[in-house]
Amino acid sequence: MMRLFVFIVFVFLYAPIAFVIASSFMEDGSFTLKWFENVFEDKKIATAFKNSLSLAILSTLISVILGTTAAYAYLKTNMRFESIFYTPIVIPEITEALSLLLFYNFTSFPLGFYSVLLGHIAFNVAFVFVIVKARLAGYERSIEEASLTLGANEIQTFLRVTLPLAMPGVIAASLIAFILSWDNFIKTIFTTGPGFQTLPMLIWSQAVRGSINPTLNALTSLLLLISMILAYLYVRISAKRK
Amino acid sequence: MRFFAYPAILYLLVLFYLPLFIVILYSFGFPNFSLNYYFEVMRPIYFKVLLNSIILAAITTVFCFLLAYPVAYYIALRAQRWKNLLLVLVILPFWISFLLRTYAIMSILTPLGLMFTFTAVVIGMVYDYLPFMLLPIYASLEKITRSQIDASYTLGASPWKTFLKITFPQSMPGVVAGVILVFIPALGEFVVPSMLGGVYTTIGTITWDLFLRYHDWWRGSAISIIYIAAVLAALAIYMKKAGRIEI
Amino acid sequence: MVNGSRRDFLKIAVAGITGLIVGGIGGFFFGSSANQRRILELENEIKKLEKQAQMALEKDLKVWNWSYYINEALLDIFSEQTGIPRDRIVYDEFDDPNYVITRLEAGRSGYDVVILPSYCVEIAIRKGLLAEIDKKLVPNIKFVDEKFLNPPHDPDSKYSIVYMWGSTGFAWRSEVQEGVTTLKQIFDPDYGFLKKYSKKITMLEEPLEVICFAKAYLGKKIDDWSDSTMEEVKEALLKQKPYLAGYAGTEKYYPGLKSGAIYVAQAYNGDIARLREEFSEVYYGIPEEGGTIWTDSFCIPKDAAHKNAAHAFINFLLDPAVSAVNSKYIRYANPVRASWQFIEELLEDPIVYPPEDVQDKMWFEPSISDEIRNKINTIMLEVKAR
Repeated sequence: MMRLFVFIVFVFLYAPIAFVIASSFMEDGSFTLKWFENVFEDKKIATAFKNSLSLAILSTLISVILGTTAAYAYLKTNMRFESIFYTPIVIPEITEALSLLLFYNFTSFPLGFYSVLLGHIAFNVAFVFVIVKARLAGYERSIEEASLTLGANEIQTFLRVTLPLAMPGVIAASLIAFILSWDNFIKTIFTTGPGFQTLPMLIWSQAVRGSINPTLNALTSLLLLISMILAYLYVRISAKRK
Repeated sequence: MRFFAYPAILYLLVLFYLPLFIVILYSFGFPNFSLNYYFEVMRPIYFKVLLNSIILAAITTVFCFLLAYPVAYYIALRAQRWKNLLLVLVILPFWISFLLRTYAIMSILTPLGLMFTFTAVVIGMVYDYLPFMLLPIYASLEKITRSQIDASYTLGASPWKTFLKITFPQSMPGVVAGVILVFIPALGEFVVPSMLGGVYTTIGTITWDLFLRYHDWWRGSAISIIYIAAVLAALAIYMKKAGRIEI
Repeated sequence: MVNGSRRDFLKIAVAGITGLIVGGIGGFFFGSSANQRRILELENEIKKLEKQAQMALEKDLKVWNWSYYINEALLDIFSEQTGIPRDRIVYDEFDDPNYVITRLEAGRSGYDVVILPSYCVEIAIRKGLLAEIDKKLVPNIKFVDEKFLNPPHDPDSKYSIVYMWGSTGFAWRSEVQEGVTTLKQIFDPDYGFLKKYSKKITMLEEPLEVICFAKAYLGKKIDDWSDSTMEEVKEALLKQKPYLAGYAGTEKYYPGLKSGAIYVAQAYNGDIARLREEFSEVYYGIPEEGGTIWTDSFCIPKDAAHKNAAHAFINFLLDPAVSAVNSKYIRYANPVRASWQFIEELLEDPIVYPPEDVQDKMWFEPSISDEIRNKINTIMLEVKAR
């Protein structure tokens, strides 16, 4: 019964995907592989892809480190003013984007990769904080206290005991942070400089003229395929370990 | 141990609150000073728009919860071997650019005659926000061990009672996180209502129009600050109450 | 499209080179030796001056334009002609000119040339975001038709020069057999059209376009901004709104018309010309009350770092041959009268160049003060919110 429900939800999730994948093989109604060729030939797409990827990886890495440590500190020491981490979630994205733009101009910070990255991290940290904190909440303090009694210091306790316990939350938070960066448009377009383009920007600039280049669909299909392969490999490897 | 939080706090202070301060300045009429902009955006017509946003965000959150919880439960507690794979499969659709996804949804909805309706907007919103509800709930559920559940059965409790008394309460932090991560951004959402809903106006739409179409930095800032303050206040009240549920 | 323009370009290039050769040979044969020495001296002078001009050009250029709005091969040719390395020419595309204004307003955009629609040029001039154009550095401006040299939003083209122009009218799918011929169909619920195609009609997002068309429907003059007229406009818009699917820009009405989610859209001619290449069951026309003539113009941001290169770029694109090739590629009308002889086929397409009698009924986008802009923004905000 539950399986059926889960299945239906996945159908809902993947229907649009199927659509995107299908259109990457079609041209005027007939089958073609030319969009896939285009993916590797079009330099603009390759650059945008590279930019988006480095942006997403870096911002995820940094925001996860910052957010996890903060969540831990807040939970353990019952710190106040948690709402510091909520405002980035509340603020409308356009307001945040413009505030960053004004800030950068005020400080004469050059617009480009780093200006975008810093903006992404600010936003992602909040999400990571909320997710990891939810995961850590309710854990038996005694495990950590035992570790401390046995002579480990705070940092060791954190690394050896808390972190593994928090792992599923950290992973969940990383996945979310990654997507938030990878797919981000509004903040990115306002904090970027001439010449730096991410994949969402590329797609938007084409879409707004009405027609999305099927090459982008092809790129997406490739990405999905690669991710699925990686995921499958990961599952097999971790299964082996157990 | 407090110092663990300092890097993150410092980062936010510099790269979020300082910029936000500039927005606050604009809301007061920078480079001049005036309270007018605040008064202007407190007009009754904006209340209807705010109501629109709240309704949309609330419905989105409810549907996200209804869809996400069972799936999160299944992945965390039933799926043993396929746990990680399923998790990735949940996230995978979001590798696709938001715009491509929305266009795909549009193409699917058009023959169904659902384009530019409120339903279309809800479908689009739920689709985009699902992982934000699912992943936190999953993270919370995952720490419940099979043995806890089995123990409960052994003690004679029915599956439903086990769920209500043992499983669900322990997943509360995740649920609360999910609700926050869906409801709040959804309130300020503007792209999905705009693309799928045609004329459905939200606070997000108004803010966007003010800043971008009318180039009115002052009113845009004022409405943003009021909005942020209102939501933070509501959130604070909610957290105080929910805090009693959190262990 | 691309092959045709390449052929044309080759034709023009060959003509130019032949001309040079003929001229050179002629000069060689018909000059006496004294003349020959004089010619050689002059040629050296010219070469020196060209070198100087080239050195005055910064080796960098950053352009921001609408997407799909240039034949990108022209950038390579520009690079060769001026010596600016091709990889230092940054050509970025935006989808919403309001972003450009916001970036310019916020401080340093980093761009040297931006191409903006007239209403944005006006806003940018008012906010002091643009540098004056040095006409001496843009000699090709003499080829531009005078109708476009003194637009309402920038008298005397001090801060902008028209790049391309087009019209705003209505697009409809073949299902709408009666087509859109009068604004009564679009604004008068009793006429029946709105009810028949309820929720399948969109208007543009740009307030000026919506309100000017409403005024044309009401029979008001385009520069009538009196409070009473504005009230009538608001009433008309409120009456219309329930039948609309929404207010849609290109990114919504283009796929909407193509897929059938929308049947009728207030639209820009260039988009429909492009759409018809993919999908022929859509038509475009200007209603009998008229439509907008809009222009997209070159502008130089005040803090542009490479102003000489910017002027050179503008000058290059105003060259009649270049303009013709560009127009043919992007299928838009250009203001360069001297280029029109090369693009007769475009001139005959009523979507690209409306016939003269239709043009007479059309209006240039009006120039409006900040106060009026506030008024119309407020009206649209209120209409949308209800």
